Amino acid sequence: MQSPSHTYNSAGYFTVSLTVTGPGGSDTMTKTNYIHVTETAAPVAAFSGSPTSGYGPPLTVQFTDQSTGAITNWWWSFGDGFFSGEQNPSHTYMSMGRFTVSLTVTGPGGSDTETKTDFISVHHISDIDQDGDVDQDDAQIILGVAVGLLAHNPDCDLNRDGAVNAMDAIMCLKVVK
Amino acid sequence: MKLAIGPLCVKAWFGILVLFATTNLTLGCGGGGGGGGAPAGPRAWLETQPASPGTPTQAYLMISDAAGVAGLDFDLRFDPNSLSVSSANKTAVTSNFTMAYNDQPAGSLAVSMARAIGLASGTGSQALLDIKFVVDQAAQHGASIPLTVSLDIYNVTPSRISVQVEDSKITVQ
Repeated sequence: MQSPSHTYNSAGYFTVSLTVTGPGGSDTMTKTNYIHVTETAAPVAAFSGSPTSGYGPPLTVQFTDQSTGAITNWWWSFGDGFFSGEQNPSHTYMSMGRFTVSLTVTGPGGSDTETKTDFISVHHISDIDQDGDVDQDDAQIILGVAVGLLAHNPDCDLNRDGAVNAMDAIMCLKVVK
Repeated sequence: MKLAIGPLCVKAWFGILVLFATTNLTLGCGGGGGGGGAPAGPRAWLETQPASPGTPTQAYLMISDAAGVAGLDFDLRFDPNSLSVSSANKTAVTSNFTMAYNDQPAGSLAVSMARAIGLASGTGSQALLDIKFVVDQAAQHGASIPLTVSLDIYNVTPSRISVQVEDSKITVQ
């Protein structure tokens, strides 16, 4: 073939020669180490997000791809049933809980996935202990702060009146109800 | 505008009370004929018992009308050389409340409790808190140990319910 195309499937230096033949004979030209194929960097998935914890819902998180290697595709799983193919997506969580996030990156050198378990925590303002539930434990913490058994925690001031007292516990317990 | 009426008028004036409920009129049936208007909110006090030096004694935080109470912050101050707190407990009325108390530093007791719904109307005064003390061995017979009471009570909104708080004492017998 006069002008062929060829795919090199391994890394290295390749010597190419061309031989032409005609009525007047033939001739060959050789170029030593003419083609240099470098190893394709395998992708390594990595990411960050901000914020990773906050009151909600809703809670909007900005995710940042920190992967390395040659990458052509990104696939995010946010842990709440939603996905994205963007490189640096923003996602809004619409329910409380802890969410495991994973990013899969794909490139010529293969694919890789990073998974961060319970990476995102969306908690109710009354979920003082941030365990994903608003319950008696949260009210107990508020009352503990109110009487001075526990160190002051501004998160316990649910009504934002500058003091932690039984009113804040009532607000918390109304959520439990 | 306030209108004071006598203690036996409750039934007779009930209809008028309902009628006036949407106005700014306040009808007071307690206190007996002074003409100075009804006190704002229920009355709260510590009901104590005399005790001998070195012996335990008990006090109840009482309220004249617990209707609507969904939480409280209680603070008590007393002479730590005369008295110490053994425990603070909920009563039958407040058994469904979430509660915390702190009896440190000596000479103080802080109690907070709350729940998600206000108390229903009771009949007469009711005990919200049961406090157990021990009178110091060195307390003098006949002495009175002053108890300085601070109390805030709240409805389920939550907002403060006006309350008339009285200090108290424990008599050493």
